[in-house]
Amino acid sequence: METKSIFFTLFLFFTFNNPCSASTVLHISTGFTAPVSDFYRNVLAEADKRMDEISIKFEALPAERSLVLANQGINDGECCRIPAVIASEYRNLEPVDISFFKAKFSAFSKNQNIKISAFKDLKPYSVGTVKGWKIAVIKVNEAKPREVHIVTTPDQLFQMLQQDRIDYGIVGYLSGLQSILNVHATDVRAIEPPLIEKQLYLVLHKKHNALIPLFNKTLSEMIEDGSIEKIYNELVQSLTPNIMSN
Amino acid sequence: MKRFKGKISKLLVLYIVLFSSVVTLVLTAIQLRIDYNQGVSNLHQHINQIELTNIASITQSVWTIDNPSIQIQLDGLIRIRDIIFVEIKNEDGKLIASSGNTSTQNTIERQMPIVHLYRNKKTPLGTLTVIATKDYIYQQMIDTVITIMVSQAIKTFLVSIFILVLFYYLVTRHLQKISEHSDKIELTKKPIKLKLDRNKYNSIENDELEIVINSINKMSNNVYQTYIDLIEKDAKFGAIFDSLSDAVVITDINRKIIQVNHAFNEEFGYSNKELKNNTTQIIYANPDEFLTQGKKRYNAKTKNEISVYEIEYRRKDGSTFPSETMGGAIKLPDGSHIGYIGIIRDITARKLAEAETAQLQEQIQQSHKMEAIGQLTGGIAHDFNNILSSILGYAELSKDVLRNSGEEKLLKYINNIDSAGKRARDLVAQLLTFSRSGSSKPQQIDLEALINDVISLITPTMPSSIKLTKEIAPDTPHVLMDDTQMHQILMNLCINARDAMDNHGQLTIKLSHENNVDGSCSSCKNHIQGQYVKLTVEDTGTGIQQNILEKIFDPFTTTKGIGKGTGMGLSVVHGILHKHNSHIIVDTVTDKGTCFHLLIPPIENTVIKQTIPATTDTETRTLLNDSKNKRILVVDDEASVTEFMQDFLQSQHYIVTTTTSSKQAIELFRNANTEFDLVITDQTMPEMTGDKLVRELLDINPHIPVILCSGYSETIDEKKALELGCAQFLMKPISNTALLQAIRETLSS
Repeated sequence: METKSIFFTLFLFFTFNNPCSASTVLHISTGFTAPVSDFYRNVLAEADKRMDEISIKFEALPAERSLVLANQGINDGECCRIPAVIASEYRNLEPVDISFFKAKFSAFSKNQNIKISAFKDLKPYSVGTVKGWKIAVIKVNEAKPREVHIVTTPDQLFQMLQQDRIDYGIVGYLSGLQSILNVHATDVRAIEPPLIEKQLYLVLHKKHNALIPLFNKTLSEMIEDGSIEKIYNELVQSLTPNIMSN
Repeated sequence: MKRFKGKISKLLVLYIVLFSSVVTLVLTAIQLRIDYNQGVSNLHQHINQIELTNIASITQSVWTIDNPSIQIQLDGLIRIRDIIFVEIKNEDGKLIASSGNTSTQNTIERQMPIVHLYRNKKTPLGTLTVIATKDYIYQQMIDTVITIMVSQAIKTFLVSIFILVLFYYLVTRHLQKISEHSDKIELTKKPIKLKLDRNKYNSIENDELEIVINSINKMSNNVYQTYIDLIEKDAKFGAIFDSLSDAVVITDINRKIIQVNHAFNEEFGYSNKELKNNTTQIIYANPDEFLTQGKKRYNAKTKNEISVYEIEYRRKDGSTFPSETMGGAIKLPDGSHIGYIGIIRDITARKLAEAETAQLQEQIQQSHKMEAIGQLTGGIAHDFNNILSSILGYAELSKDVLRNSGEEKLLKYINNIDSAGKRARDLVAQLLTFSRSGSSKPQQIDLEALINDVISLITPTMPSSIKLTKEIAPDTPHVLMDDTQMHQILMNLCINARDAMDNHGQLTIKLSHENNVDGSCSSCKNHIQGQYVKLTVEDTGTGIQQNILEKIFDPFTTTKGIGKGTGMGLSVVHGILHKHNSHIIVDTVTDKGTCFHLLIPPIENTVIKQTIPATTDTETRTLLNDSKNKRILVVDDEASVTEFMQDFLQSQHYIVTTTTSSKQAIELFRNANTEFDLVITDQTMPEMTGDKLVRELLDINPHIPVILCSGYSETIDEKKALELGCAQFLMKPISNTALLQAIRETLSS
């Protein structure tokens, strides 16, 4: 009886401590807030299912802190960034080759009749954007609109739109949808096309360079099989229960 | 204010200000230290408060990298008092945000780690540095110092003024009165009681001032009483001091005279005024002794000794005197040395007595020595005379026998024996003369004539290089001396003088009458005083060395070479002179010469005795022819003498009976006293001395003539023998001729 117990213990020990058979836990954070962060979570959750070698734990953090932690190696990756923008400051981060999300900065307004296709078109108007959205803030300031309001949160921006305190609010597309929902800014709509579109990539700490092919493969498969698009669409539907976009 | 300007008041103010300042400074320093610690503590509390209240929000802002929020918070911190600088750096040391500046140096810096709990781990995000300035603390401290100093200065000033006034009222004015009272105290006047002007409001019973007043009053009374006592003691001491027969001097430690008694004034002839400001150096006969004695007294002082010493002092008139001084240091009961005391006793009389005693002792010793030598030489002479009597007697007998026998060679030998025996006889005679036992025939002598005789005798023996002179004082008295012995004395002295001059010099013979001689005899050491005839023999020879001078009168003492002197010359002089109550004084200087002064008692009514010429041998023999067949009893303890006498007298046709026992002689004489015509007896015999035998024989037959012979005897001389009843007294050794002459004279009378 005792002999059987010993063998069973040794079996369990070697089974769960064998590096070949164990899953590598990757802590991947994101600086995006909901609903973008929800999109990432769902995508990475699906990818996690498809990669037996690793196990992904996802969490949302303050935008820059997320990058810092990944760069420090405290976390294993960050989701998701424009590699060219962060490459000089965060040298420990390596992007995967496959982008599964295109970030959009759109102009939201009650007035859908005026065509805004570029930031320079915003010059005659009172424009607001959200602090922390660096590209948006820079572009708005470069456009030199009549008024510029940098607010703390997207909800704040959409309340100002709803109350006509500004003419246009520049914010991420999905975030804008979330804020419309949050503050019941039912008169506000996103103006097409988005003012900026950028491909974002998952970046891993360079100690995990070996996993990049695995991610490339998995994400390609998910793009090819439409899994990612499905996740995106489900998110957009949840954010626009009463509004049909596109 | 003048009344507060006393030295004590100034000191009091000074000490109050000093003490108050010191206390203020110390307390201020303590206060500042406490304030400083409190301020620093408060600063730390402020910083702690920042850590408690702000670090969480700052951490959150840093976590979210909300730099504007961070900046706002830091700017808020800067507004807190004392916080002058804050900054946040990330974990890599990179500055995230800062506010304020660090221009001041007096700061406290605190670094607080910014840590965020992430995935249950403390994740370091950076460091919050807070710098607080201590300037406010210092400013507060300066304010405190100024406040304390100003307040303390005012307080000190007011307290000083108050204490000054109080001190004057309670103490100073009374001290002034005490001072004024003390100035009025005079030793010779009865003291006045001191009272202070105080009432019940400014005094307490038995307080310090009252104690001082009581003490001063008591001290004044005691001092006055002590002064009275001292006066009495001083009077007593002065009386005792002046009543001392010894001179007493008291000096200070520099030996300056402080006090002397009357005996001192009288002894030294100085008045107290003359002694004032003088040291004892003025009384020392030898000024060097002042220093010498000073050193001795100083040494004695260190040993607590009183020294007794003899020293010579000088009086004011210049005369000196020997003293016995008792000197020593004067010390107080506490051991401090305040001076010296000297007790001086004039010991002139004692010194003279001691000198006389010493001289007397020397005289006694010399007398004993001469007496001992005399006894010795006398004893030897007696035995020698007995022996020489036989030798000379038999020699003469032999010469008589051989004179007509033709034995010329044998006769020459016998003559040599006779000559040597006579020299021995002369020597023994000199010994007897020295011992004053020899026979002498004192007679009045004209020394001038005697000197002339001696000069005529000695001149031929003197080398021409020696000048012989005489200095004869006129009317010099005659003396009572044995003429032959006087010749002998003068000859001896002249010969000694000649020998001392080594053929060059001057020999002077002086004769004078000295009325007041005062000196000491060089041989017997007796003191000589009075009137004497002085005969001086003076030479310019080598003088006599001191070590020899003491012994020149001892027999057989000579400085001449072997065979040149017998050493008996001066011994004979000594013996002859002293037998005639005369003395001799020797003055000698080495390499200058020697003077022998003979001091002989003079006699008045000079009658010069005619010297009887000696009988010749031929005449003697003629006389003896008439006495033959006379019966003679010869008594002598020396058998050789009786045997010779028997042979010699029988050869002269006498009938001789001899005995060596005086008792047997008495027996023989008692049994047949009428058969003897003459008795010849020796003096010194063991059974009975000659003088006693003479008495016995004269008792038996008062008409029996007796010739008493003596070689040496202290108990008999010619005078005594004649008084005893003897017909003749002969000194041994007796020549045959003298013997026959004496026998013939005796038998014919």
